[in-house]
Amino acid sequence: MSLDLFPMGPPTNPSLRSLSAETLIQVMSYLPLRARVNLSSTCKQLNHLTYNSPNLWRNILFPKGDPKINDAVVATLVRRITRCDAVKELRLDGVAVSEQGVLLLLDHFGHSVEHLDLSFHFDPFLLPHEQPVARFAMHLKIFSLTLGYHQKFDNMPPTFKEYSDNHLDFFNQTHHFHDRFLRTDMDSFVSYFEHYGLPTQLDDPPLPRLTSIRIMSHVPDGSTVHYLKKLRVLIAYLSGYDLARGKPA
Amino acid sequence: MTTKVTLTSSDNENFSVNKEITKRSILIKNMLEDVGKSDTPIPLPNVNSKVLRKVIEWCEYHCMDPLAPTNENTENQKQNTDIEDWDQKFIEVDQETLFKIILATNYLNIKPLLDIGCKTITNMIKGKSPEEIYKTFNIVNNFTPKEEAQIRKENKWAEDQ
Repeated sequence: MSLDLFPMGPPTNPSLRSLSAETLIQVMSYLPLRARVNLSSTCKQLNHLTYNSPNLWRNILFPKGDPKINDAVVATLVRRITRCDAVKELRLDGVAVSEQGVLLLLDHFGHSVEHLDLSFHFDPFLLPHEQPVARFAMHLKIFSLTLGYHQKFDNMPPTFKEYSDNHLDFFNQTHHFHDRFLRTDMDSFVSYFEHYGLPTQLDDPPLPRLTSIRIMSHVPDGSTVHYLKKLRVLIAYLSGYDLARGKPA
Repeated sequence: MTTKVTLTSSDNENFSVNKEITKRSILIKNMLEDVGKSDTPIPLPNVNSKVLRKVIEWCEYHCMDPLAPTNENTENQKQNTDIEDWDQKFIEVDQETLFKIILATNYLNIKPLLDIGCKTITNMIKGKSPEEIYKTFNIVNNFTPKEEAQIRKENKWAEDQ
């Protein structure tokens, strides 16, 4: 299978035209995200090949600490990459993506992701509870409660996207659970869930393949550590772990 | 005693090569297994003598390497494009030859050498803007002006570094 990339075929340098699609995919597989995107914007065929080759997207590793990686960049990529089961690893490390961007990524790739590496950037103009890590923890809390609640009543659970688009509705739907929810450790989560008669394990978790997570926050004074603790428990819950069984490995 | 195999390039040059070395090429290895004992030269109509000489040089240098496992471990997708010193020197050729080596190793099925070729192209792409990529690889930008404007806008983050 070869691609006719260069109908005009300039004579000087040999063109990428002569390489098979398979070889081109191999070349692309070694390219970091930024260079891969630059190659994809050179012509239609390379653009198509880039975003329709699931093998290229086993891991989506955003360049570390790059302030140019924001929600718009994430939204563009998510729209282009064919939804597939290929994405195993997601890395967002110190980039300017908000909790909405993370939710969008999880919506698109959560069903296949095995490794999740989230390091939240620190915004010096925000208070601790307004930092991205805090907002993400709040959203996952409401989302987790919503999923538990839907399971209890045998309703169709929302996806990350449906949640993200209507998070105020879901907040209102679960607000009666919130007042005592200050917990960060597994045991108090369990007693909390049991108190409200919510399941400690999801039957149809949105992150079913997740086996390892690394969550960090670049907040310098450690004021957000408890959000990280809470996030670890919530993500374990969302990956189908039974909280009543104690600490996940 | 080492057995020799004769390989014939597209321009009809014969190369007498140690049989074990030719087995670096999965294509030739399979051919030899199919044919059994035979002195007939193996024609390689897709590879010219200049490129075949290069490929044999690589196989001879790497004759002691363990043969790559046949089951491709694609899960283990590393974005490491480091190339060993000897291979780096070996692959420092003009772009036309580089492409011919890649095509030949693809045809001959010599995965480690194909990897080196692909990584070399990868290293040529890294750090280049889309314009520099067009120029280096003679790509015809066939987006419509409207598509191009859209892509430019969306990919701006990747361009300025």
